[in-house]
Amino acid sequence: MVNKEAFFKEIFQANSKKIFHLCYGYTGDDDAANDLMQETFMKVWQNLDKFRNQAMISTWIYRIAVNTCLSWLRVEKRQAKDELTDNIIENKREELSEKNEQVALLYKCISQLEENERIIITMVLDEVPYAEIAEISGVSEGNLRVKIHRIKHKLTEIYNRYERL
Amino acid sequence: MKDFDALKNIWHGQAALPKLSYDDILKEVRKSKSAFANKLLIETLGMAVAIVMFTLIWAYKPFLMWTSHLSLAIFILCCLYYIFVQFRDYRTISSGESLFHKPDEYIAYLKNYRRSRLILNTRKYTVYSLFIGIAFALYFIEVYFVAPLWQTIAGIVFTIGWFAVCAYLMRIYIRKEQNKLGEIISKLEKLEHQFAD
Repeated sequence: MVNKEAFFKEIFQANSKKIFHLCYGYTGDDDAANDLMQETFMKVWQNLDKFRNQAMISTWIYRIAVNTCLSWLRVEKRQAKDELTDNIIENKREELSEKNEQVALLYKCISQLEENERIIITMVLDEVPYAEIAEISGVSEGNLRVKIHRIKHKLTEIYNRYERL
Repeated sequence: MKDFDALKNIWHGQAALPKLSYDDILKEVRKSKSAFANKLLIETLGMAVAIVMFTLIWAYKPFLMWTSHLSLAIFILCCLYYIFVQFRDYRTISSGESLFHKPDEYIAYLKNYRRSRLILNTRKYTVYSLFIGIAFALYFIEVYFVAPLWQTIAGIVFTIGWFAVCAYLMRIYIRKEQNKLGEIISKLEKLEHQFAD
């Protein structure tokens, strides 16, 4: 049990930040992202024995996180993402520094993308290798490169459009 | 005008951090595990008590008509079916195998799971209620022959009233559940299309 907890702690510390970014990018909401991250790591704990002999643990954790995000629709009883993110930006405007404002705007722009695009781009931004993203998302590497190129262009366009406002 | 590298710099400068530690997760695991296990245990125990009760009645009460025996057999089978469905769902969810699937396979799994819940909550529940109704009707045949008429009528009226209330509540529940599940399935179909390679 002690070993299991130590192993879990190691996994959590190595992956929690990136998983949180993925969940935040997917939901566009800090609280929902924490909920989804918690659900993801609870599932990781429950399946920890299956991880012991896996070479790419992070791939499996990402896979669980992606699937958890996708099933978030099951309990989605929240306000529309855009509205929610707008509120966050409006309400917290005073307390946000310029840098944080840019981050909030970036999350808002990500929330405008399609669900699969949100998942892929947060991994690209977190510099997950393309081969791993392909493995996690189930998209072939060649196809993924095309998708990533398109999503990068789309995201940059949305961001610049918002920034001009 | 910013290019993608500029966005990447913004991303890496973010202070957005999870509010949870691994300790919080472990606490939550223990809490939710026991809550879920307790819920399942209570439901299973309730049904197990009902089965024991029906079996004892069957063993010690000398029924005169075959219809009463059939009625008790139907009651017991309905209880066993309920326990079977609960455990099958519990095993599917707790095995966690689907979590490792690729997103498109996982979405397909979710769709199938949701569809089976929809069928369970609508069609199968109707059949389940029908069998309970038949079991009551069969039992009342013997009551009609052995008990005073007023008792038989009171029993039938009470049972019909109870069924009517349950049917009314279930109709509301089924309609809500159908809408909710229908919405989820259509969202999953949209997602499935996105994740097709």
